[in-house]
Amino acid sequence: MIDFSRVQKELQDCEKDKDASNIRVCPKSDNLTRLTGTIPGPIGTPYEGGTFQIDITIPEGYPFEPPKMQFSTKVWHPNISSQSGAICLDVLKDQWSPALTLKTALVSIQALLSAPEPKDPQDAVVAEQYIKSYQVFVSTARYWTETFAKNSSIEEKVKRLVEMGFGDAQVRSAIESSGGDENMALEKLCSG
Amino acid sequence: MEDSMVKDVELEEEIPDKFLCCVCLELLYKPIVLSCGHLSCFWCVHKSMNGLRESHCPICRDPYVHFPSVCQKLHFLLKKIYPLAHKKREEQVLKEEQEQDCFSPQIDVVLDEPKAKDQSVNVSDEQKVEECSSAAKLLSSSPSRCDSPSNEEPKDAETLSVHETDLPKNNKVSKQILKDDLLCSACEKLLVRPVVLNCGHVYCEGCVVDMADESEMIKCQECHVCDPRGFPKVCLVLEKLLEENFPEEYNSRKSGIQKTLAHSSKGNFQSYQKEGPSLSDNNNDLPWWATLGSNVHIGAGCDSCGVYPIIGDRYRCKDCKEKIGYDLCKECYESSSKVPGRFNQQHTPDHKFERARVPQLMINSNSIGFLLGPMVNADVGAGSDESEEEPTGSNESSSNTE
Repeated sequence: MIDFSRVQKELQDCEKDKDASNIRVCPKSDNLTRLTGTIPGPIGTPYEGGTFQIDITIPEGYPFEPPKMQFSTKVWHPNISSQSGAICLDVLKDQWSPALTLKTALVSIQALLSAPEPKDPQDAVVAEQYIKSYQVFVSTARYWTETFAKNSSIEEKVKRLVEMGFGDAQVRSAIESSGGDENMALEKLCSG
Repeated sequence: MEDSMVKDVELEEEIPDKFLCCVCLELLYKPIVLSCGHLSCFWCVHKSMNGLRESHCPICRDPYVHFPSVCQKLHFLLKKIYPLAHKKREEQVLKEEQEQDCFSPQIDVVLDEPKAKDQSVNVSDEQKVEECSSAAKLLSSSPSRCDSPSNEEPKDAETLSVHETDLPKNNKVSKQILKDDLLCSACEKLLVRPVVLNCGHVYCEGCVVDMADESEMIKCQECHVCDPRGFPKVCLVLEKLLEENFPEEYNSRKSGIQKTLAHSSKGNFQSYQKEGPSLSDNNNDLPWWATLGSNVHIGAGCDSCGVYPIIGDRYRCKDCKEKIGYDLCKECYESSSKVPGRFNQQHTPDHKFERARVPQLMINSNSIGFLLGPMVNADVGAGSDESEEEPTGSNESSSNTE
């Protein structure tokens, strides 16, 4: 039986200091067994500026068993599968302790983004690139962050394009016809 | 409706983080202090223990094998300071216990506030359990209770309703923490650097040093049971409580103690810390349970010393009817200990025991090594406790940094 009152308490605590930590946990459904965690990419890393979503599943034995976590945002990192988003992190496995929480686990994942462990890889391809050609790794990771972790909302895109001097209705139809791609919409607006 | 009650409790009683259990994140209920000085609720400690091998403190990962008894001193203090939240926890836990048909020790009934004492002090243990059960039934059957905590309730609930109607009036008086609540059982003065033994009794650190005999066993002066573990560390939550409530007296006691320690027994004390029986002693060997070999009783603990799991001979009571049963390890069986069960079993000295077999297949160190191969190897490879306990780095990462 899952201790839902504890999960509920954790969500409240997270909500309280979300401005300080920038870490969020939101339930996906009503029953609190599936949640989504959000962490910002650490500053000074190729993940800076990105927002990463993590799928959380609360197992039957929680908090005596670790929560199951994997990235739903695609990430280029030696300890995170570029295919499945699976995370290789000790506190999510044998080093879990019931005194840890969803938030502290997410903080550990954030720390993993800052400090990759290429010798203990989850994704061998990424790890090899990290060791052999670090600069290529950095630019790939940055590109993946730009592409997959910076999905700003339609409203934000509209706001930016309107600020450039285009009309609101015009901007909206351009974004819609270009499938939400901000740059394509801008091209359309300029050419049209 | 329950939500509104929760809010009421939170409004009236702001519980500081130090009194929240690190596992359930609620007010500590029937708190247990581990030998590292960290604490958690009775059930939270029990649930976080490992039935196969040594357990680790949820906070500092300090290894331990004994399930300590509830620290009654702290239990009654928390009950006194936060009567409403405590009541809520009591009801909540009782309900869960009812569902599981397994009860934590009923310490409240024995040492309760005067009114409850009058009612139940002569009641036999069996009746106490029934009392609790009926209280739990009442909880589930009459959800409107919170709205009308008054006299219209059935007789069964007398104890509960007495508490509820009395609490608001007594709040101001009884919430006061008195020096009498925090005395050392040995020197009978205000506790200084409090440590909690395996039996749950609280002493000054200095008094425990004096209590240890030549074989370095600490025998509790209250219950005359030896602490099977190493020298316990100071319980910082209790120390904070002392510092906050009796700042002047505590600090003067503390500085006095430090002086005497420096003069006489300090060196002595350090040697206890080093030489005391410790789990980390054999950290170059296989883990303690694997070296001892062939007789791990997975998931079974000793009701006397609390060792869990029992290794070696295990004796099971033939007469205890409770689902959880009553077990003793070899040492406690041979010392004919008189400690009551850890789970409110109605065990009496005339009960008969039989030697229990290891359940399922015979397990020897090789097969455990096979079952838990990666863990065993990791422990052996780690070489020292520090690297195993390092909370930030993984086993893998520590090998990277080498």
